[in-house]
Amino acid sequence: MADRQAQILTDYVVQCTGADRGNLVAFKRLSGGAIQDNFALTVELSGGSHPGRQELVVRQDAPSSVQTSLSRPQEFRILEAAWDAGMSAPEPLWLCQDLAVTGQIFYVMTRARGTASPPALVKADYHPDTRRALTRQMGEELARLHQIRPPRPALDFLTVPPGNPALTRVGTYRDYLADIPEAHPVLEWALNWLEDHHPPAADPVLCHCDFRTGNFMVDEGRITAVLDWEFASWSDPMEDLGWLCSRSWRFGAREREVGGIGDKVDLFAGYEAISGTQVDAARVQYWEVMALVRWSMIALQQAQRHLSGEQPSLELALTGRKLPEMEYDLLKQIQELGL
Amino acid sequence: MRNQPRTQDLLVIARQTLLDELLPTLGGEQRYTALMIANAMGMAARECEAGDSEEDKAMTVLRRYLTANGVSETGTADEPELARCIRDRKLPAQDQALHQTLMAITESKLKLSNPKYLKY
Repeated sequence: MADRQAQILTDYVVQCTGADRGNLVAFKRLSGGAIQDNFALTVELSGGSHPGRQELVVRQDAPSSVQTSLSRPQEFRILEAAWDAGMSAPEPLWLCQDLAVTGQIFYVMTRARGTASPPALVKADYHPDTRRALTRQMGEELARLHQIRPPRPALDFLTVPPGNPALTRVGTYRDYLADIPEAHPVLEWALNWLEDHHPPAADPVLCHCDFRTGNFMVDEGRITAVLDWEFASWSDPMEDLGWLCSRSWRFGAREREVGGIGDKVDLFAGYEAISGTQVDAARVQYWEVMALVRWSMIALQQAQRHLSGEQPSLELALTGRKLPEMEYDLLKQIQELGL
Repeated sequence: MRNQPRTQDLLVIARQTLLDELLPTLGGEQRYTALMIANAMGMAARECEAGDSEEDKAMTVLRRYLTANGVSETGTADEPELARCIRDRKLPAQDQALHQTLMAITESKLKLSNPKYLKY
């Protein structure tokens, strides 16, 4: 089965590049989610637009796809925008919407070197200069992304938030809490705080909305590719910095505020160097609190998939039991910021 | 009425056996699955051992708070009532006593689901 698919994809790449010939070198499934299948495809091409050895990733809908975030074609357009903005992202190559090829919509992009594994990155024994440069680069990448502003015809599937993105999120989360039977007084309390302390609306920019350790590849201390663009949307740029610095995404290295890897001074320096604006540290902290609540909502939704019987899964079940950790972090952080 | 060992002791030894005898033989994704099973069993063992004691402690704090703030309409001073009062803005936002109550409830849950997190 895999061999047949590998050959079909090799033939597809040959066709796209106009190569005289293409040999399949390697094909393997990469660990993916329930929503997408990712495959590593290596081919050797002669002639055409991409001669030589090509290391690629094929990303397609899983057969039992549930539409919760961006579709593959939409993701492809986002990647194109990010690539054009000069980010370290996989180069988006070809989007195939012809179901006759593999039975699913898919796209092909370049494969980046390195690892995205949170334990590996958080435990890496980086030289202090390397660590600082890597953290700075995170800021630079986000600043490049945030240069993309609406309107963008190619991204017209993204809705520009009508009002203040923070208040929009608060409203969505209140509705969700009202729908579930379980009571979460801490989350209700945190939502009140977010409503009462919201920053003025910023001009929306393109945000990744899941930029954190685990979603970018690092090779020898440099980000080689930012991955997992399925949640990208127009929002307050500080949302991306807040998510990256959230206590939930430090993977045990709590004292390193930026993704368990580095310090804010370096993140902000990198961001400011590219954006030409100064980062408002208090605003980032606001979005860190929002990040805790957002992750709580995602965790509740994931647990619900298990509880409802839709997808019995130990991992989803355990996710539901993580809520007290986020609630604990919320109580502590809001106390520190001022009730 | 039951034979020894108790339920929580069964869970503890089963979990330890999983970690000592099975985990070393597993690779890749299976290791991750085994660790998740150990995590679930650890939680279950702690809850079995604790019985209602943690929840009772938290409920006492919660009841005292809701009574002191005179907001209990239905007469049921429980977590859903607290959540409703907060949502409906019936309680002062910057109240330290509310923060303490919420923290007591949360610490109680964490002691069972992940006691190591309390060190943060």
